[in-house]
Amino acid sequence: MATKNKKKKVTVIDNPNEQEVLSSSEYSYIGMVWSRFKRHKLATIGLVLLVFMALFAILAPVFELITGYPVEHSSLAVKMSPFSTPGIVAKIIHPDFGNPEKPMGRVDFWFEVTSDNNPEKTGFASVKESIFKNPEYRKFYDFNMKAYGNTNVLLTNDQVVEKPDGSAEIVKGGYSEFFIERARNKKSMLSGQIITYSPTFESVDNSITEVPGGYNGPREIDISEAPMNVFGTDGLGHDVLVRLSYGARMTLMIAFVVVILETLLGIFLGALAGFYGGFIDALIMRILELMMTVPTLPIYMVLSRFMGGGSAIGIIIILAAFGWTGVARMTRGMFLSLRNQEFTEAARAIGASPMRIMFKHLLPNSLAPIIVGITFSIGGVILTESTLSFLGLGVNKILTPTWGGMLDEANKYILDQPWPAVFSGFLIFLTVLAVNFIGDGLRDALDPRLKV
Amino acid sequence: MTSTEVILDIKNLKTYFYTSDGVVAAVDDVSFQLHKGETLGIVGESGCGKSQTMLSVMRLIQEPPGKIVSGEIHFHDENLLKVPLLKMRSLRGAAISMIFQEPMTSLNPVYQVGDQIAESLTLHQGLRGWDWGYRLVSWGLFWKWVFTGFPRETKKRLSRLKVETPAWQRSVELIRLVGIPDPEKRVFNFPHEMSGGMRQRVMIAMAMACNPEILIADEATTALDVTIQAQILELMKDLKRRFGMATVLVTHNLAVVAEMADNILVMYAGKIVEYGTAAQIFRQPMHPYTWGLLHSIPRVDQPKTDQKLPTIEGMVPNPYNLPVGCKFHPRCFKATSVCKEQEPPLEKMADGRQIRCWHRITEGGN
Amino acid sequence: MGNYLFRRFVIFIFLFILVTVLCYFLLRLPGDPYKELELQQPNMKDEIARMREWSGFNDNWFVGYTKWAKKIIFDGDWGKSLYDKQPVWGKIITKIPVTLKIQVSVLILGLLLGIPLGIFSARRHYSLADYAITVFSYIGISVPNFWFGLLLMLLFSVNLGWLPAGWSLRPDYDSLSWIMKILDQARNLVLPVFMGLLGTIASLSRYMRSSMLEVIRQDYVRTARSKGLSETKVIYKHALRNGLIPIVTVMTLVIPSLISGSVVVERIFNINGMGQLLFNSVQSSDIPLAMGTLVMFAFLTLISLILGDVVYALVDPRITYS
Repeated sequence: MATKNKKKKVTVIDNPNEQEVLSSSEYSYIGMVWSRFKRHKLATIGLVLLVFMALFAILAPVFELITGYPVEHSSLAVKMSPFSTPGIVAKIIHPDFGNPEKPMGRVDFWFEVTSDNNPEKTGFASVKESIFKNPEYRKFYDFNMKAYGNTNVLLTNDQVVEKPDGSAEIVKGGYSEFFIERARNKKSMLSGQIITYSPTFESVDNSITEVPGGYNGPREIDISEAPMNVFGTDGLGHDVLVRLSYGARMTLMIAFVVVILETLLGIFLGALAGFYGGFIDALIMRILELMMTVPTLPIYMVLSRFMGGGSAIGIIIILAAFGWTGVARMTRGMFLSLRNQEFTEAARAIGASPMRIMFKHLLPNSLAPIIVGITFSIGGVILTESTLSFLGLGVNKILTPTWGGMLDEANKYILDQPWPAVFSGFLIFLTVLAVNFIGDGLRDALDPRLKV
Repeated sequence: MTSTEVILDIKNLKTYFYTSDGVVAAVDDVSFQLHKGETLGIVGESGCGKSQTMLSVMRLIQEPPGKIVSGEIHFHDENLLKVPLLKMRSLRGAAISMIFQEPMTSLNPVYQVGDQIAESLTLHQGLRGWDWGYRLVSWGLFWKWVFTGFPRETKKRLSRLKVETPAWQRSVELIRLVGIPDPEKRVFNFPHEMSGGMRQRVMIAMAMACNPEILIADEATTALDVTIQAQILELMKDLKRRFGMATVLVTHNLAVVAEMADNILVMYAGKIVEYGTAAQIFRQPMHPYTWGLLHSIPRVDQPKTDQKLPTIEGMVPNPYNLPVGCKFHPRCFKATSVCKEQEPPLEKMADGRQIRCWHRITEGGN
Repeated sequence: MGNYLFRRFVIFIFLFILVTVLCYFLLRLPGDPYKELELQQPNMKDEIARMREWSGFNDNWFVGYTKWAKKIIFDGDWGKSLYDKQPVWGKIITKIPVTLKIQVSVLILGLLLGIPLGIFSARRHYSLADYAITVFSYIGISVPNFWFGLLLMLLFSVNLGWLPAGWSLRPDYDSLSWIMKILDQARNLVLPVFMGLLGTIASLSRYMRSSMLEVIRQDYVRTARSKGLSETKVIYKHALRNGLIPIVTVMTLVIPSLISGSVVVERIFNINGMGQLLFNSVQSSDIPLAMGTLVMFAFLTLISLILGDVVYALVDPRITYS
């Protein structure tokens, strides 16, 4: 390949003077690579995008603060469109609120809120649908409501627990307060058509009993404006922006850790195979061939389901255990071609140990294609991880948001509200695209001969 | 042997390469003539533009980055740089053909050599070759192979059908002509089944297929062993004796030129620096560069001395940044201030020699 | 040639055995998945015990594997699903056609579109069109295909209503003429195939482009030009066949990923194929079914790789003797 390229640019590369020109200029190798990288338009775009993603992930707590929606915050304002405000937050405070002598037991406020979009759908219905009918919600959803602003509201930690007969129950009672933020858009809530509300006890058998101590209507209805959900909210009423930025943390973290692990493993095994050859080489190559020919996704699925699934570490181990093949093959190829070259012979002649030859002499010389290869593999890992999460076999999506998991969640109500699905998928796409662009630029910059 | 009839007349040819790092004048204002039956040797270091000159004649410069900027190349009455591409294609391989440096990579690895020779014959001489018919038959037989193995008879039958076509008949003759033993079998070989010398013979057979008027050998023997080189040169000489085509030898090997060429053209940094008959150049080189080239060859016919072999100092200049004035002056032992400032013109002398130097070496050496 | 194929065939049998080993140990590695199931489904004790015996989980690893492998390979006994107690083999066999229909269409269309695109891009190297195709192919390989599938579904079946969102043949399918049957199937195949196609075209065209660029600057292409051949003939006779050789190797990477991809495609479009079967069996811990499907997935991959080798031998004459 080298000779061929020489032939093409006869007067350019074939010229021994070039060496002189390069070394006489003040550019170091890194500087040269960087200047070539900068000239690559797509790569620059990719780098900017990736920096943006990294900032997006790092700044997750800042987003929480600015928007006022903590990541675990969920409300009844589910499936809201981007740029909508939950708008008017009706805060209904129970008359007996704060009175320790009159514990309210399992109090639930049911509102009937009509929406302009869908008069059939009332606030009541939305409570029913989103909480009591959703099995995952029942299992995992931990009410953890916070108030907006500085009004005298309280937090509750009521948990919805599924009962054996299929009904749901709120345990760990105490005071509860619901923010009814049910609205598809600002307008419908602004018109504030809270028609009726009736605080009730909900007993286990769903019969409505009287409120002890009597009930004389609302004592206070505080209406204030809540901050905007820039990307809307998802099916559990999480703010999509905040959740996406936490998802970025998880997704990027998994991708980078997996790539680092698989690079280390791949370089080590590839170096062994390429340097020693013979039996070790044959053994490693057969394992590698096997791993490359089997369809990996089903295997990931099985492994994730039956061992270590659900936790980030489990996913990382599974992905790294099968992902090292590419790096190993590349390292082996490079080592095979380098191990008989003069400088290796020279190192051997002065009595360097095999480890020293491998990692001091051979590795730095084979680094360029390996770096390019692992850059491209970051994108692959992000895609695979997202696919697993999308299939519900990745990191537990309720506890830890990942982009794939969010997409899976959003897929359930995609006909209702496509935006969360669109956003999370788009971020995956952008990140992978950025990484691939960078890989392209690195390939051109690190080794112009690899350029195609 | 040389007649006075000019068949190739190159005037002020300029071929530039436009790369991201700058413009390279690979061929810079080159003019020369090739006569009927003449053997011209073009000599120079690698990167001096000698191959690019001949590729420009074939119009095979890769574009981009290369481009023939200006000039005229007259072949008989036509300017090759002006004729339509269709016409140019009908000349390539028929009237002007070329042999390349690397016999290992110059033949297509996936076609039998007979196929590759016959292709040229079909194209230019209209001889019927074996193409689709062969493929259909062989594809139809494919599954039979897979399950029953490939029977010898079928292979033989296919080969017989193939070799009966006129183009293949002629291929066999050509392979015989270039001295490959057992040509009836060898036509069916793939290039990887042949040695380097044999592949170069096949290349020559391909080039000779349509009896070209001009044969360009671009470093044709460089990649070969010395003994094989001699055989190939012998073959080329022999072919030239029999068919009398004009030959251009592009090489950096002076021995090859000495053996074969009538006239010699010396190039440096894209320009002609000296031109003359072989006898003139070898007996009395006038340009310091030519002198250097000739004297840096160790000679066995002279007594061994303690003196160091003279060499040409320095390096080939950076093509992006050629020296001002004479391009050779940084390396020239005769350079003076005038060389640094002004480029010498190419002067024509009475005996037909051409030279580009302010301080030419006169009789008696330096 | 025959010899070469025979040798590859032996290697593939060896690989297949290794794959079954891998499938078996993957399921045994985590401990005993049946135990977990027993806790979840106490009323299925008998069935679980039977299938554990069938999988050889009662014996040690080696004996267990050989027992299981013997049943799978020689007896054709692939076990029974834990839930509906249907034979696994039967379940898999009925699911294969639809999966193959989708993936084979993706592969064929991907080759038919991706390769010409790559050639076009290579021939107009550094032109605007080439640049556009390069950007397109980067987009294609970066799009998460499940997301792309969802977007397609949203656009074409929800918003525009042109195509079905899932696999829904017409109710009167059985009474249709054969041509209408094909059309009805095609209508259902469009979106799933299109979803798989984007990435396939993108990666194939990218590989084809770089492979063609590599070939175009080879000496033999210059030789072909110097013979006076037309540019079309130079590209499509001399360059293309050489450029296809690395593509055949690339296919060994594309095909496993396509087969893996069927899980995602079938899940999004709710198609009852192999992928869905695997997904459901994994989700419900139906271990015999999961094992069987996994082995079948691997088997299909290997078969397609054998086909790839046949093509390789056809394209590259040097293979015969190496």
